[in-house]
Parts: sequence; structure tokens; C-alpha cells
Amino acid sequence: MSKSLLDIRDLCVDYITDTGPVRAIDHLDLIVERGEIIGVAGESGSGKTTLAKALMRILPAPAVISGGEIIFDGQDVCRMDDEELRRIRWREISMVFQSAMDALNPVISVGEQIADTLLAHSGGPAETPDELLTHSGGPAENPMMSVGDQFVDTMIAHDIGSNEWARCRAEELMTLVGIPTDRLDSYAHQLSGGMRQRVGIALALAMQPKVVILDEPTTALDVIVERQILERIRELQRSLGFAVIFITHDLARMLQVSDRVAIFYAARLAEVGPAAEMRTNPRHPYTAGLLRAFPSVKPGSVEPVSIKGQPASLRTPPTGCRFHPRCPRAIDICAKEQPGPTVIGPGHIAFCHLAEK
Amino acid sequence: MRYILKRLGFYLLAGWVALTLNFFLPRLMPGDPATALFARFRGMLGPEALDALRETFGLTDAPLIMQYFTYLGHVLQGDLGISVAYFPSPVLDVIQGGLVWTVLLAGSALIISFVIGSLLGVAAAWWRFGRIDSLAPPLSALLGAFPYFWLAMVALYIFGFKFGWFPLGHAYSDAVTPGFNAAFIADVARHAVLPVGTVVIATIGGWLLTMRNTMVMVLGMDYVNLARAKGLSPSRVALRYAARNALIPSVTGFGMALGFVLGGSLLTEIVFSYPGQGYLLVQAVRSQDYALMQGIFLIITLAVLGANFIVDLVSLWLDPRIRETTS
Amino acid sequence: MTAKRPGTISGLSAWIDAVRHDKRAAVGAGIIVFFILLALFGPLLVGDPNDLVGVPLQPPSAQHLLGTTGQGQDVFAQLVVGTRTSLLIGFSVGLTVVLVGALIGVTAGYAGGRVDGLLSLLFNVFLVIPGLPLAIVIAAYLPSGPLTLGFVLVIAGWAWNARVLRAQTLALRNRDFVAASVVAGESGWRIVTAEILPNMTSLLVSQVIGGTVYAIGAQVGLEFLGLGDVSAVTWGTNLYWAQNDSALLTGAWWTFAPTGLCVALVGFGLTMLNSGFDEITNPRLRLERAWRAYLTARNQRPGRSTPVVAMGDDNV
Repeated sequence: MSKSLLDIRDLCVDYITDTGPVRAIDHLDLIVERGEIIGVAGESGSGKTTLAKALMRILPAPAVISGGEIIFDGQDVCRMDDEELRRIRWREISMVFQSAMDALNPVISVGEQIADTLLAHSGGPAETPDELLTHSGGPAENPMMSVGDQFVDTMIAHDIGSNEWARCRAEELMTLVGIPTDRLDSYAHQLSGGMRQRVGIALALAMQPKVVILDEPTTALDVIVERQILERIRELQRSLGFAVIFITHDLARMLQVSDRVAIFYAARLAEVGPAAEMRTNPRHPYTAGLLRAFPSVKPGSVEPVSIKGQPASLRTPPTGCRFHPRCPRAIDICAKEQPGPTVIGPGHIAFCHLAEK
Repeated sequence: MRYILKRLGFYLLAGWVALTLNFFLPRLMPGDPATALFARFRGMLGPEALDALRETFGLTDAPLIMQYFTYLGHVLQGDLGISVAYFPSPVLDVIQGGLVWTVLLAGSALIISFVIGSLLGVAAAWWRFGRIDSLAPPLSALLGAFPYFWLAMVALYIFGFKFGWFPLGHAYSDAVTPGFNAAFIADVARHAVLPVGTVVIATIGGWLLTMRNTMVMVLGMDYVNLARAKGLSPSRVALRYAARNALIPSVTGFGMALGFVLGGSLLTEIVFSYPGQGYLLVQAVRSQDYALMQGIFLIITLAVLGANFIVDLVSLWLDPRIRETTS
Repeated sequence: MTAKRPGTISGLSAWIDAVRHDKRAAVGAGIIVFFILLALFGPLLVGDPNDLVGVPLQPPSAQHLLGTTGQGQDVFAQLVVGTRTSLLIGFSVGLTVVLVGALIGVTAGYAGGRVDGLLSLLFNVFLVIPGLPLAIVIAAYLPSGPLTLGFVLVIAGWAWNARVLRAQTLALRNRDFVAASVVAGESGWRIVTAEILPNMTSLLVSQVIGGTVYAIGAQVGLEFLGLGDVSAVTWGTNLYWAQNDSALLTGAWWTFAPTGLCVALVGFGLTMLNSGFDEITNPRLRLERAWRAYLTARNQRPGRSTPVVAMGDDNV
């Protein structure tokens, strides 16, 4: 039985302010299996973007990881030094940033930025095709067919680690995400929002990592482009076999795409489980509230109902279960005790006192 | 390209403003402008020569607008009048004599100071809170607070007078013959060390701080974070992703500070009797040589405008985003 | 006066806060206070600086703390008496350039359109024309004295303030609370004076400080050239006479060194005040300081990746 790809244990992340640390992720336990798509949903300030950047330890100041472990493929990220981190970044874990406009260097062409990445990890001619192939992520059950073949072809045709190889590979990646290769020499501001996001995806896939984190990949895009991008990601995931951590506040969209879904509220996990089950049988009132809050296109469906109140403050969080001030079904114990995990079904856990009954 | 034309148009406008200022200044002061301008020429010039001089400044009996065009005509032909302090040389000749020294002093000081200062600024921001970063801001503030010419006086006193390492003034000594020979060039270099060094020390803090602050801002941007996340080597992130972007506002700041640094450099020339525009300027002030003063003002302004235009071209090359903007 | 809008830090209390909490601002404030006291009370303690009190070019001694000038005057007396005029002109010009800059910059920023285009062109032209030569040319035609000096310094310096204040006005103009006032039908004049300017007070104070630094330095420069009233006693004219009397070539460092040092100290002090204030009010800088202190307390240095700190106390 192969170990999980990512095993987050008791993770705590704080932001240091001049009035003391504010906890953004509170004792999180979460597992991501190889090749699965897990969605992470929650309101702003719930901790989901913090989690994305914490996994690679690229959270900027004033963040600190104040406890717990991030076991990636058997190694604890929290114990790695800068060199080890540099080796797993992008080769094993990569990320598509939220706003691709800000994430692309404005003064270097798009193609050069892809080439940078490739050349940074190519390691020079010393790496044999075998070594390079084993670097590419993907479970043994899904052999990389078309892309892998292309990859070997490229390596045979060019020196690994040369500029020609990088250019060739960059063109492959652009084709992979559906951008004409003549746009390689464009600058970020010359591309549309959708294209920029695709470049971000191409970048993320450059080293064929084992897991790709998508941080609100479609928030800034219109609905049609959003759909195209998500479909493309699904296709790529099916053929290349990488795991996806899909972070968004759009629960409805996420449920369509993901295998499993984790719901965050105020720095804590509220519920996690298979997407289908979460849609039909949510056991945490917050999850239920989120589902009701999104309008459905199907005829005869219920009017959307928003959750009353404001997201909990992380500086002075509510006692006990943090959702209790806004929960329509709160009982006495909810204000006093933090609920522990209750197993609802296989892979389905809820953190709610009501679920314990 | 629209951007280049727009900038060119702006500098032409600024040049025209300077010209017009020169035209109106003598006329705005109390009293007869001709008296002020030509008082010192009494006895030195015959009546025809005086008349010719009046025409150069447009001081004819024609209506004001005609006077203006007369004046413009003369300027555009290079006739800026006759100097009092260096009588009977024409103003333009006097200025041309000193131009090369000012360009040498200010030019080399600016380049050296900007390059070293910016490199240190990149280092300070990259190793944030390190030694350079802690020392740089207060040290730069202190060094920059001294008047350039005072630093020049101190440098001259210590290194010229006390230690005798460097000559006490002028651009080259009488012992060497001017020309492209090694002895001359070495002599010029020796004479330039203190003046250039003074301006460098006085200005380096400014570039350092500007670059440092810009770098700190750029280092907080998402694309730098992404570059780190991509596992690029630290030097690549620092240079290609951070410094390269921080250079753009730094170069813009360079353009804006040019005129200011040049002013300080002129004053420094005086301390070292360095035969550039600054030296000429002080002679002009002492002799009430208005023609020379205005001539120097005009030439220096045109030089600064030209330099700014070059900086704009460099900015265009550095920042691909400017190439797209239309207004 | 309208209530302070949330999120803005402005006003005198913030400055007092900065001086109390930031070392640099405190040092700066100390220096400035010293020189203000010197300017106010110093002249009462020394004799007439124009008196010929001894042999020219004497080095510092018990009798003359800073020696004598090339004419035989007491350098120390000249320095102390000169403080008053130099600081006065410096501060007045600093204040004036901000007033002129605010008048033009805020108008341009608020009015927008063609007015903005015209005014922006005006100050951009003045920004690019080199200041010192411009000041010299104008000053040469006017009678020498503090008014002329102040006048040319303002002309050479106002454009920078106009540019900065216009930018800030634009930023504020687009904020919601201003939009609300516009919709409510308040007059432009009222919006500017009641909503925009009060939110710029800290910037305005910082600009006045910066303007004073510029004015003192530029003033000294012009006087060094001989364009001030050379019979007056100011820091700049002291340096003019030192250069004229060939102080350097006779090795009389005391005639120019202390004066320049004072100019630099005042400039440095004012700059420290400004940067200390920046540290306190810039929220990002504040957070970074808190984060650094937190790490240092746990024997860690900031590195390239998110630091991992061993969990001390739980705050569940």
C-alpha cells in the first residue's frame, strides 16, 4: 500500500503582528492521495491560500509555521533546508498563482520565464533520460503516453539543459495548454487574462510535478474561459496523473471538478469527504449553508440563502466551535467545546457536535 | 513611436521656456534692461559694437514680439552675446571652453555613483536587515546632508593640503601638454580624483536608498514569490526577477535627480578651481556678466534636457510596457 | 472638521508617537531641538560676530573656541549667530514650497482634465529645468538679501512638492468617502478642504521637513556663490568668506569645517525625523519589525523560506 502523497499533521501557521501572533491555520490534519483532485473551499480569511503557500514554504513575512509536519512523499517539508526545498519546489510540487498578471514578470517574455524554470532544474547533460523520466510525477498505473514520448524525443533531438531544448519544451507546454507557440515571445501584458492563466498552468506543469496547487485559478476570468480552463486541467490531470489541490471559494464549481472536498472555516477544518457525498449529505451546518448560498441553474431549485453574519475574526476567534455565532442549529455545547472529528462514512469526517449524535 | 515624439515635444517645450525666461528676465527687473546688461561695457566697446550687442538681446525699439523673434534668431545662430568677464570673447566660445570639463566631472561622477550605489542598494535589499541594510540608510542620510562643496573643501584640505596626495586645483598642470598622450591623460586623471570623488561620496547614498527601497517593494511582488517557488537559483531571482524590475524606477529617479546633482557638481568645481561651467558661473556672478550667466543657464539647461531624453530612451528599452501605452 | 476616516494615520499625535517609539526619529528630534535653542538663545551668549576680536586665522583656543576668520572675527560667534537666519530662511522656504506645491498640485489632482494637464505640464517643465542655474540667473538680477534668496529657492523647488501632492490627491480622490461626498453634492472647495487635505496632514508635515532640508542646503549653496547678502552673518556667507579668504590654502580648517558640520547635522536630523515617522506609520514596515523581533527572540534569522518555529505556548 503506497503511502499518501501529502500527509499534513497538526499544522499550525501564524501571522506575526505587532499585537501578537494571529493563527491562520489551527492544528490541521489533512491527507492528499496520489492522483486525486481535492478541492479546498472556504471564505476569505479561512486559511486556504495560506495553506497553499505553506506547503512549499513560500509564505512571505510575517508568516511563520509554528507547529506540525508536512510529510510530502515521506519527507517532512518543515525540516528541510533551503537547498532541499529548492529541489522539491516545482519538480514535486508546483502552483498556479491566483492572479497570473501579478505572477508573471512584466519585463521578461513569457517564453523566457518558462525556459528559466526548465533550465533551473535540468541539471545539465549529466542527467540521463531515465533519471529525467522518473522525475516526472504520475502514479505507476497511468503511464505517460503522448507527453512522455514527446519528452524522450526532445531529449534525443537536443542536449538536455541547452537553450534549444528549453525552447522546444516550452513550445510543447504551450501547445499542451492550448496557446499558439508564436506567443512565446510575448510579454505578460500583451496576453489576455485567460491566456495568462494558461501560461501559469504551463509553468506549473513544466517539470511534471506530483501535485499541482491551483489557487483560485479562475476567479479573475469570465465564465466561458473559466470552463475551458477547468476542462483543460481535467484532461491534463487524466493523462499525466498528477494530484491537484484546487483552492476556491466557489463551492459549486469545485464540487463538479473534485474527487474529494475539504471545507475550511476560520483556520480550521469543518468537514472533509468525497465530493458526491458532500453535495447530497453535508453534515456540517457551514457546508450546508455554503451549498444553499449558490444559485443553481436547474429549474425548480430553491432560492439561494446566504449565511448570516460575518466571517469570524482570527484575532479574537469565537470560543468552542468557531462557527457557532452564525450557526442556525447551534446548541449549548457549541460555544464551550471545540468539536472533534466525527467519522460519517469512508473518507467523510465532520467537525460538529451535532454530527456526533 | 508616439512615446518618443511625446517626450521630444516636452523637452522642446521646456527648452523654449528656458529661452523665453532668458528673454524676459532683464525686462522684469526694475530699471532699464539695457543699463543693467551693458553697464560694464562702458568704455570697452564702440557705439556700433554696443548696438550690435543690443540687437543680440533683442533690445531694439521694435515692439516686444519683434524683439523676441530677433532674440530667438540670434540664439539659434549661436550668438549669445559678448562676455564681460572674458572680454572680448563671445559668450558661446567661453562656454565651449569649459564644457568638456563639466561633462567629464559630472558625467563620470554620476555614472560611477549610480552604478556603485545601485549595486549596493540591491545588496542591501537582498540581505535585508544585514550589515549593509542597517548601516546604509543613516549613513546615506548623513553623507547626503553635507553640501557637496563643503565635502570638497574637506577633501581638498585633508588629501591636498595635509597629505599632499592630490593637486590643489585645476584640471591639469602646466607641466604637461594637452592632447591624446599618456602623460596628459594621467595628469587629468590625477586632478579629477578629488572632484569626482567628492561628488560620488555626496550622491551615492541617494542612489543606494532609492534602489534599496524599490527592490524591497519588488521583492514583495507575486512574480518574485513565484520565481522562488519555481526553484530558481537565488542569484537568478535576485538579478533577473527582482533587480531587473527595480532598475526601472531607479532609472526614472536618476533622470529626475540629474539637474540637482549637476548643480552641486558646479559648486564643487569652484572649490577645486576646476575650469568647468561652475567656475565660469562664479566669475560671471562676480563680474555681473549677465550675458555669460544667461548663456551658461541656457547651455546647462539644454544639456540636462538632452540627458533626460536619453534616460527616457533607456527607460523605453528597459520596460516593455511603455512601448504599448499610447497616452 | 470632519471625523477622521478609518485607516488613515495623520495628525500631530502620530508624529509624537514616532518620536517616542523610534530611535531614529528621537535622535533627529533631539538634534533639531538643540539647534532651535541655539538659534533662539545662542546670540545672547556671544558677542557681535562682526567685531574684529583678534589676529586673523588663529586656530581654536580657549579664548576663541573655534578660532578666528581671515578678517579676525570670532568663528564661534559667527556660527551661533548665523544659525538663526539660516534656520529661519530654511523653514520659511520649506513651508512656502509646500504651500505653493499644494495649491497647484491639489488643484491639478482634484480638477483633472485640462486643468490637470496644464498644471502638470507646468510643474514638469520646472522639474526638468536645473534648479541651481535657474536660481542663480534670477537672483543675479535682484537685490541681494533674504527675500531674494527665499524667492528664487521657492521658484526652483516648488515643482517637486506639486508633483507629490498631486499624486496623493489623485489617490485620495478615488477613495470611497470622497466619492460619497461628490454624490452628496458637496462643493469641490469643501471636499478639498474638509476631506482631502485633512487626510494628507502627515504627508504635508513630511514635505515641509523635506522642503526645509532642501532650503537650507540650497541657501548655503547660493550664499557660497556670493548671491546672498555677503555682509549678513549666515552659515552660507561664512563659507563664502572662508573660500574668499583662501582658508584652505592657508590650512585654516576651522573657518569652514564646523559650519558645514552644522548644516549637515540639521539636514540629517530632519531626515531622521522623516524616516522614523515612515517606519511607524507604514503598516508593512511595522509588521516586518514585529515578525523580525519574534524570530530573533527564538534565535532564528529570516531566511528565504517561511520559517518554522517550535511551538511554545498553545493559543487554542
